[in-house]
Amino acid sequence: MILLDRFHGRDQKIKGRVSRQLSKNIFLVKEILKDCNDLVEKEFACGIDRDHSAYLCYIDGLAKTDMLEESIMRPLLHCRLEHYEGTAEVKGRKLLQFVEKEVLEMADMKELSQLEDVVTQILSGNTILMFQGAASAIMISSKMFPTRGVQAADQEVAIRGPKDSFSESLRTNTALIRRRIRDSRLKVEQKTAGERSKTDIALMYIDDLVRPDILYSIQNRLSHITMDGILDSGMLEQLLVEDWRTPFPHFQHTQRPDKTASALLEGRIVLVVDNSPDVLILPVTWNTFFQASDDYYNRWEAATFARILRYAAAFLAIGLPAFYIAAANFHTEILPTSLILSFAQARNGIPFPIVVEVLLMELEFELLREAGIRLPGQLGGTIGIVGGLIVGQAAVDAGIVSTIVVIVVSLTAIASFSIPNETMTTAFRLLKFGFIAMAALWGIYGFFLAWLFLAIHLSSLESFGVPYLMPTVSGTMAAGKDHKDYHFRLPLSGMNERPYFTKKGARIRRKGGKS
Amino acid sequence: MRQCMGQRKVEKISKRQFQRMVMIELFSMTSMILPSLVVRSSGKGGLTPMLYGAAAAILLAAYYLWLGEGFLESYETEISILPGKWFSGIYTLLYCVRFFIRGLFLMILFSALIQSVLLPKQSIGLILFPVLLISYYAARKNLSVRARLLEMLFYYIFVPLIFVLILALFQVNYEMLPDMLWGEKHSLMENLGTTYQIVMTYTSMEFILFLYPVTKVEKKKGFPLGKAVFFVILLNLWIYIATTGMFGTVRTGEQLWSALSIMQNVRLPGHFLERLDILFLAFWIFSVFALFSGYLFYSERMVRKWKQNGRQNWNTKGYALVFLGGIFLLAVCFPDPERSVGLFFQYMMWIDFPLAVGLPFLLRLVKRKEKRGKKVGQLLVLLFFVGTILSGCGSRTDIEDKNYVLSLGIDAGEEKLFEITYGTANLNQPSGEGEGGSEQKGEETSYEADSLLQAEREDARSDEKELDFGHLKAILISKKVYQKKESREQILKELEEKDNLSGTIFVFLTEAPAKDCIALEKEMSVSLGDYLEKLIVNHKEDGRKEYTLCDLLRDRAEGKNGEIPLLYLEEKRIVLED
Repeated sequence: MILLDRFHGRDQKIKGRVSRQLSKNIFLVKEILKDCNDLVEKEFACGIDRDHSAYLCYIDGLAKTDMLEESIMRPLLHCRLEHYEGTAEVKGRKLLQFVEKEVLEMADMKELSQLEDVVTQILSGNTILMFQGAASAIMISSKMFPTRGVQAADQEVAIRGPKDSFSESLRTNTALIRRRIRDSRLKVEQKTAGERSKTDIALMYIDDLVRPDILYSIQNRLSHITMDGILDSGMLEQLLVEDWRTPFPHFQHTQRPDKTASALLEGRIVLVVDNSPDVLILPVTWNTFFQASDDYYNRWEAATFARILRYAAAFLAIGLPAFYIAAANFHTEILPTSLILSFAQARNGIPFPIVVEVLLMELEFELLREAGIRLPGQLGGTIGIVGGLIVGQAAVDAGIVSTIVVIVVSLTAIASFSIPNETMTTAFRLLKFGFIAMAALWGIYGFFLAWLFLAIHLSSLESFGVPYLMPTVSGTMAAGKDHKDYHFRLPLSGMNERPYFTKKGARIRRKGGKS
Repeated sequence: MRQCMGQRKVEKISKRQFQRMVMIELFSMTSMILPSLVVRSSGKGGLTPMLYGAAAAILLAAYYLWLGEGFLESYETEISILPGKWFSGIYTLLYCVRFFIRGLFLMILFSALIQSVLLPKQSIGLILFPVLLISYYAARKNLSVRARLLEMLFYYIFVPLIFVLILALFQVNYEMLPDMLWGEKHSLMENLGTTYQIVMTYTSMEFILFLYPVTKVEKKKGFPLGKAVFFVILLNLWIYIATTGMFGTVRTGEQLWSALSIMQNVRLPGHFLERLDILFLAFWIFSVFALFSGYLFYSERMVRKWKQNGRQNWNTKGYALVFLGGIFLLAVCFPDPERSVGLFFQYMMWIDFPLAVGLPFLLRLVKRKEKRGKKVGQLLVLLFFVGTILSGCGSRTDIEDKNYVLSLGIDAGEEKLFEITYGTANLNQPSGEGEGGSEQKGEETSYEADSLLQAEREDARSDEKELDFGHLKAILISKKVYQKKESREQILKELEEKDNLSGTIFVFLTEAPAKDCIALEKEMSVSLGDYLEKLIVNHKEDGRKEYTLCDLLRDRAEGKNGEIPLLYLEEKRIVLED
C-alpha cells in the first residue's frame, strides 16, 4: 500500500492499530494531529495508587468538558485499579472491561482498535481514553457542538401546524423526528460520507413500510460516494442523483420535521445530513412538490383549493410570458379585441420588440431576486419594494417597457412563489426562458411544442424506480388510489391507503372507517 | 440471459396505457381526413359507408388482436428472429419504408396546415425543424416513457376536441343534415369502395402488434382494445356529422382537413378568448406528434431488434437521423399537400394497406420458436442528413404596428370593380377606463381595386401598418355587388381562400353603400363591428338569426341562396331589416 503521507493510505484512511504501548499511541496522536492547537491532551496516572498510566484527548470546543471532569477524570483518579494476571492481551482486556463497567459513569462508550476510528472520533467531538497495556482505546461520547437550537422554519412557512425546524445538528434532527414517530420500526442507520469531512448521515425509514428495493438502492449509492467533503445535504443530493441532465429535483428537501415524519409514514426514506438543516426525502413524484404541510392541517376544501391554485400557478410560472409573446407577436386574434387594442396602445412608442421587453423585465426580476437573497434581512425587503415598484414604474414611465409586460412578469413571479418547493421553483425559472425562446420563434406552435418537450422529459424521469409523473401516468400501479391526494386533497377519513411509495402489502393506513 | 447492473429491464405497459395509446394513434390519422375522404367518395350519402367502415374497423381490430395473441414477444422481436438474416431484414425494411412514407405524408399535411393557419410567414423547413427535433428526442426514450407520455397527453387531446364538438352541435344546420348524411343512394359496391378507403385510414391500428404483447393484461384481453376502437369510431362519426352539418358536403370535400375547420368556426361563449381554433389546433399538434413519433419509434425499435443488440448506439441514432432528415428534405422540396394526398391515397389503397394486413399474417404463418440467432455484428453505413433552415426566422410585426380591421365593406367601384372599405381601430385614442378597446371610435379607409388582394396591396403602399383581419367582426356587401354574379363569385372565392378569416364573422348586405355605413362609425359610441354584432346577438329572442361567413360559404358551395340580413341607412342610423 503506497502511503500518501506517513499515516494515510491511498484510500485516505489512517493506517495502523492502537498499540499496547501508551507512549507509542501518544506519539502517533501527536504526530497525526500535529499543529492542531485545539487538541487537548492529558497524560496522567490513574487509580487511587496512581499505578496505572492513562491518556485522554479531545478537541477543545467540541466536547463537554464538565462532563469529562465529573464522569471520567474524577472516577479514574479515585478508583482502585487491579493488576491482572495473564498475557498482556488478557491484562489489557480486563483492565478496559473494569474501567468501562465499574469506573466510568457514562452510558455511551465503545472500544476502538483502529487508529483511523480513534482519530475520527476525536475529530467528531468524542473523547478518547487509552491505557498502558490495552490494545484498544475507549471512545466516550462527549459531543457538544455549538448549534443554533431549534428555531422556526424560515423557508416553508405554514400558517397552521408546528413551527419548529431542523438545525445543523444531526442528533437534534433525528430527535425531532423520533419525537413524532414513537415506533420501534423507525430505523436510523448511521453512515458517513466524505473522505475528509467524514460527515455523519442518518438514513431513516420505517422498516415495515419502506420498499426494500428503494432502500437497497440508496444504501448502495451511499456506499459508493467518493468525495472529499460533504458540507450540506445539497451536495449529497447531487452526488446521489441518477440523471443529472434535468433541472427537476429527484429529492425533496425540507426543514420541517412534521413533513419529514409524514414522508416516513408513507414509506419514504429520509436522509439527515450533519451540519445541514435540510433533510432529503426520497423517492419523489411531481405532485409531492406541490404538497404543503398545512394541506393536512386545514380542512379538505381549503387544501384542495390551495392545491389547484398551485398547479395553475405552475403553468403560469412557466408559460405566461411565452404565451403573451405568442399571442401578441403571432396570434393577436386569440385575445379579445378590446384587450389586444389596449396592448397595442400601451406599446405605442416602446423601442424594443416584445421579446426583448419581456427578457429585460425577466432579467431585472432575476437580478432583484438574487440581490434580495444576498442582502441582510432589513435591506432585502427594501430592495423588493425599490426594484418592484419604483424601478418597474420608472421603466414604464420612461417608455422602456409597457405596463402589460410589468404585469405579466409580476404575475409570473407571484405564481412561482406559490410553489411550496424552492427547487421546483428554480426549475420553472429556468424553463421559462426556454419557453420564451420557443414562443419567440414559432408563436403558439412553438409554445405548445415546448410543453410537449417538457411532457416527454417528465415522462422519462424516474425517482428510484417510481415514475415522476405518478399518478397522472402509471396510476394503475397504485390501483388509482393516489389520486386522493393529488390535485385534490380528499377528507382524511377517505385517505385509507398509503401512496405507491409504500411496500406492497403495507398500503392500508387506516383500519375501519369509511373507505 | 445476462443479469447485471444497467441491463435493460423488460418493458411492460399497463392496460390503461395500451388503451390510450391505441386511441391516440388511431384517432390522429382518421380524424384529419376522414370526413373529406368520405364526402369525396360518397357525396351526400356518406353515413352508410361510415357505418360499414366502423364495422370493418372493428373487424380489423379483432384481426390484429388475434395476431397479437399469437406472438409471445414484442412484434419487433418476432420479426428479428425470423429464419434467415435477410428475410427479417427485408421485413424490417418494408416496415421502415412504409412508416417513412406515412410519416412523410403526415408531415407534409401538418406543415402545410401550420403554415396556413398559424405561421403564414414562416417556411416549411422552419416549421418542421422543431417538431422533428422533438420527435428525435422522444425516440431516444423507451416504450415505458412513450406510454406514459401518451397516457398524459390523452386528456389534452380529447377533452378540448370534445368541447369543440359540443359547441359545434349548436352550429350544425339540422334542416339540411339528413340530406347531407343519406341524401344520395349508392350501390353496395360503391359503398364498399368507400368503406375500403375508410378502413385504410385505420391502418395505424397495426401499432397494436407492437403494444399488445407487452401489455399487462390478465383478464378480458380484448376489452381495452375494444373500448379504444369503439371510442375512436364514435368520435369519427361525430366529427363527420358535425362537419357535414356545418359546411355541407361540397365544402367538406373541398377542404383537405375539414375536421379542423370545425375549430375555426365555433365560437367560445363568454368572449374570454376570440379565436378558439388557434388554441385547439395546438392540441391537435399533440395528436399528430403522437402518431408521427410512433412511426419513428416503432421502426427504430425494429431496426434495433434486427441488429439484435438491444442497446442504443450510434447505429440506431443514425437511423433516426436518416428517417427525420429524409422527411425534412422531401417535405421541404415537395410541400404540395393536395397532390400529396392524391398520391398517398393511391399508395395506401394498393400498397400500404395490403402490406399492413398481410405482413403480420405472413409472420404468424412462418413464425417458429427457434433459438435466437447469433448477434449480428455488422454496422450499416448510415447517411447523415442535416436539415437546413431555408429561410430566416420569419418576419413578425409587433402588435402596435398593425391595423386591426373591425369591419370590411365591399361596394361596386367607379373606376375598378370594387371599392373596398376597411373600418379599423384607432390606436391613438386614449384607452382604459371604459374608453379603450374595440369599444372606441375607429377610422375608415377606402380603396378602389379589382379584388380584395389588390386592395390590400394598395393599402400596403400607403400605410406603414399591416392589415390584421384577426378581429374582423362584420363584412358588409352592397346589394349591387351581391346581385351581380361575377363580382359576387369573385368576392366569395376570395373570402373562402383567406385562411385567416374566422368563420364566425357576421355577414350583411347593405342597401346603401357599405362605405357610408362604415363612415357612420364616427357617430357611434362603439365600433361598427361591435354595433352590428350586438345588433344580432342581443336580439336573438326577436327571431334574429346570425348569418356568418361560414354560412355564406356553405350556401355558396351547396348552390343555395342564404338569408343574409339586410342593413339600411335611416337618418344616419344603421337599421336592420325586419
